Amino acid sequence: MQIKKTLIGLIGTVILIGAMGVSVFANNSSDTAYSFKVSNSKKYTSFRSKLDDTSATIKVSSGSKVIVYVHGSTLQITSSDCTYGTPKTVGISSTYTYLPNTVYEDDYSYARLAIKSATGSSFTSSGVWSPDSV
Amino acid sequence: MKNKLNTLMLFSFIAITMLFTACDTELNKDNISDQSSISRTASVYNIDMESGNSSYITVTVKDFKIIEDKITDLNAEPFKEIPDFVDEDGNIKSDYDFAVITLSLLSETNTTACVSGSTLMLENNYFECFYNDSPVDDSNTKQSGYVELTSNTEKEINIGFFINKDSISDSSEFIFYPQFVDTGEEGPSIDITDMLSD
Repeated sequence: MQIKKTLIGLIGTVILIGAMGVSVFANNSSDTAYSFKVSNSKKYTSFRSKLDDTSATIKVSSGSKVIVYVHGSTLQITSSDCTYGTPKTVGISSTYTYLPNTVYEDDYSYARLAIKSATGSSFTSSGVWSPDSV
Repeated sequence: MKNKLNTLMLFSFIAITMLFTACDTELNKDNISDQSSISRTASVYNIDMESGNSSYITVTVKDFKIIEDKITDLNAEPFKEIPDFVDEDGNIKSDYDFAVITLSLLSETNTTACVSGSTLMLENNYFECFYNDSPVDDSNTKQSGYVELTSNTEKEINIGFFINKDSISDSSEFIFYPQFVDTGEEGPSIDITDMLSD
């Protein structure tokens, strides 16, 4: 009986893996989308795993210009500003902006972006971001 | 007279016991009925980042399973690219298992949804999606989390999460948070605890 269960489990796994294709997200450079209202105070994205020391990226698709910071965290509760150099001001673009940071070097496991308005007014900013880059 | 009274009391006791048993059975049936009617479906907000159009997508969890150890023996190559979870031979590191959730996605409009924003919560630890078997562009890492949907056509996909073994053994519940756009607000959740087979 046990052998039969093991065999069924193994066959199931083989079928599942066979159907899986090859799309595992390399480091953590896959995009996730965000869309929220920004103002003069920082608004945060969700936390994502920081897997290497590459820059984070952002591509803004709607809204006005925003200032973007990269924060690091260990427990996904609070976070510290790990932006390297001057925070980037980013507007709508079809290309990615790289966001240098020290999240990985500072031994944090998670990153999130802190985004605020660069114009002084409130508006909805939408786009995509990733904690690592290729 | 005393014997008659004793017999009457005995029958009364048996009758009351049977009544309670019947009520208990009925209660259990209700519980089972409630269990089977737990919703596996949520309506999830989406923005197509190309067109800017927003809509809601119906997400249904079809299956949930946890794969231990052997996944990379069968298809190791792509997993080597994520060294935090996979060793140089392509095996999942001993601290982790790989959780796979099968989803059905249904949209009323043609759109593209970014499934990699979804998370799985075990005992207050959130795990992010690291795998999607139906990407828009398999060669573009940035787009590996996107799924293309045709209007009113159900699409079934598998997404995957690397989870600490300790978290799995310590967890009494598994909550799935489907998310396509991070709006800064908590979205819908689906309790998938009882979908996990032994």
